[in-house]
Amino acid sequence: MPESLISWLNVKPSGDMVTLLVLGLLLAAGVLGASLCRRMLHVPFITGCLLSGLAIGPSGLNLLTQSGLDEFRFIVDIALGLVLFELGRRIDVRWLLRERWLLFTGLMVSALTFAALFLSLSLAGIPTLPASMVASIGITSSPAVALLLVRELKAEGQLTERMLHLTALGNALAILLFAVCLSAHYMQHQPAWYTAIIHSTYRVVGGCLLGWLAARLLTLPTVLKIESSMQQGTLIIAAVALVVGLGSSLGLSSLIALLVMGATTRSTHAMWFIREDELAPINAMLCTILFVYTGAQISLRYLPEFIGLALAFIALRSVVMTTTTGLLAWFNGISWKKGMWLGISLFPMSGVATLLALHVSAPYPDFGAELSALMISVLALLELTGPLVLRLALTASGEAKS
Amino acid sequence: MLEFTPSEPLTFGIELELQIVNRRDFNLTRGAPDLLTLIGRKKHNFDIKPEITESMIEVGSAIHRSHHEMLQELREIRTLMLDCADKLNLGIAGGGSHPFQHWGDQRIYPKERYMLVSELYGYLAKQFTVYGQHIHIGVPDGDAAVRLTLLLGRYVPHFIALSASSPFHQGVDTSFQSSRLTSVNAFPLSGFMPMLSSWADFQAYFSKMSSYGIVASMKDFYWDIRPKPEYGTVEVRVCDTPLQLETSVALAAYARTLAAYFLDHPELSAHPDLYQTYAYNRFQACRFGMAGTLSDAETGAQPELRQDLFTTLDMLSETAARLGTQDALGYLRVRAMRMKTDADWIREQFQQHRMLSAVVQRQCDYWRAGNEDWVL
Repeated sequence: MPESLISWLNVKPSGDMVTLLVLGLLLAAGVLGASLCRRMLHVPFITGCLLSGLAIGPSGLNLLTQSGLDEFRFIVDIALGLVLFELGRRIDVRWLLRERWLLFTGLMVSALTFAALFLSLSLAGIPTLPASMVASIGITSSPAVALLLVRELKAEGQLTERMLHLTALGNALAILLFAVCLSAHYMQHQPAWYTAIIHSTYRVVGGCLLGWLAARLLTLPTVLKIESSMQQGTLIIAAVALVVGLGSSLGLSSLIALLVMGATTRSTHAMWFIREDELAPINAMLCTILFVYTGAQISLRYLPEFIGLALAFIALRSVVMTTTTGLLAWFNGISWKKGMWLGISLFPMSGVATLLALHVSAPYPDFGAELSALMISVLALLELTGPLVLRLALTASGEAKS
Repeated sequence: MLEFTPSEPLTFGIELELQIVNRRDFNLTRGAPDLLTLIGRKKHNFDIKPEITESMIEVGSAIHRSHHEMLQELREIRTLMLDCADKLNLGIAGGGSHPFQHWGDQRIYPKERYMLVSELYGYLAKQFTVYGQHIHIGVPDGDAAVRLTLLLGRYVPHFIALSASSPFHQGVDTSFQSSRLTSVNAFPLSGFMPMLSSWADFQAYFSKMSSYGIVASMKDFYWDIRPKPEYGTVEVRVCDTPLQLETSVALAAYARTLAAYFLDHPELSAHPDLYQTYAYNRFQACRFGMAGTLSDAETGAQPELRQDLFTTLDMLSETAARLGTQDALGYLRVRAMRMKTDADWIREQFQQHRMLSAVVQRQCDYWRAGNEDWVL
């Protein structure tokens, strides 16, 4: 609750009042702060939102406290859900199956990044399980940053398309790796090893099924001849909310479900009935909240101590990604230069990663305080610089609209 | 002085401007740079190059003496382009315009000439995101080029109606069969070549326009038909890019047969009132296609366009037999008899699918499949 803001008012606001206050702050800070940052610093809109969030959040002026922010988890979950659904809609499964080099590149980027990070962490003396979990967070790229910047800059071309596909693949693989890590963890502690396998399969396969079912829901406008774009948009929000809600209550992977839902609507007839611009106003609002919220969550507390290690982590991750895509550029039908930019475009790390890290550190305290601090520092740096680096990649490759 | 390079009479070639679309919502996309990079890596001698906006690509055939060879070559080009486009997940489609693109979204290809054109013509350059077919016919000298340019002008409505494939513009049904030519009309030097009687006259005209500072090269004339002195050809520029290669080749064969007929009949010349009826006839063809009504300056008759086409095809039968173009003319005759133009096909697809995205997807499939029934 933003006590600091309202203590001098000498009123005792009810819970709903506080929620409204926080919502107002998130939106106003987002729009006004982002516009100000954009004008003064020439940064992308989302960086502006992040900076505003950072300024008013617990790490800054503390106008927004952690408990106040927690009230908004559900909106943030829907915002993120919509982003993942939209990313899913950009994924062309038929292309991935036909253009094997893209699939191979995605697998190689993830595998090599994972291997490099895991080996380095292991050599630094981190135990296997936390090291593998951190390494699997390291292979994710931010779907929200990727999608929103592509939209903001009106980027089009092979780098853009391949980057979005690699981003979706990386996030899906991270979920799989995570499930495997957790299974391994269970195995250490439980005699019945098969429960671990069943658990992770349930999470992933169940997620796919949930996504597929939600996509069926979105074909209803065709059947019922609902032609109003507002109603179609509302149905999409409903489907996203249902998937996120059901996913977490049933213990299924919502990320996989949303990606599958998006990709399935693309490959079925439903795609004709959902146009990107129809969701634009609600998308803009939800994303403002999402990024101000994310900015407020950025913690700079450990940065002074961990900056060296965090930079080393980021450098290793970027070098491996860029080298891999650069070396495979020719097979992807693009110039080696564009291939290098493709690797660089994967730089922003996933907000999903934050959530994963938070989820993990709570129930599995053996993640370690130091490693958590390192990850929090890495995330802080990547959140703040990611959009700028991606913008550079999209502009330098000529795919952003000038 | 503008010199005319002679070429072998009746050799011919075509240029086709094609649409590059994404496979998500089938809107135009800036795929040309990526597609050309990939095509550039393959071993081939084909002429595939960028056009003014990055969602266009232009294909040129070699110089041919037979339309069968031309079709063979174009089919090979199509295979090569589709291989590359598939790898990049791009769609390629024919059609004179993209049905729902927004001109403001288009980007000028970063090449000096296109940047200059864009600077000069402002929004017209981006509005010029329309797709046409150009047909070049070789002529022995400049005099023949000027004479043929005028004589072929009488048949411009046929070419418009036979190739019409741009019924939609910016998401709206225009009620035209070919809306593309309307975009061309906005250019200051569009329209037709003046009534001139020889290459010497043309040189004098060009020098005058040049001295007025209006033109610097032949490229500045956006005429429907123009002499092309560098190539030694007459260039017909009114056709929309048809939805299938076979139609493109048949149109080229028709132009070539007409040219052969006029070279065989040196006594024929353009009617002095050609341009009195020109704009009206051109409009009728754009608006109503095959069902348009023409005004014939020579006879004073007002035949239906389709009827006029049949009369012309009958007139050409001997020449076609000599050139071996009967099959191509037969193909066009059947299309006209069935009143099935590409514009009608596009409208039919829209009736069926109710979504312009789906129409463009069908256009891509249609271009890929080709028209194998027409055995050449």
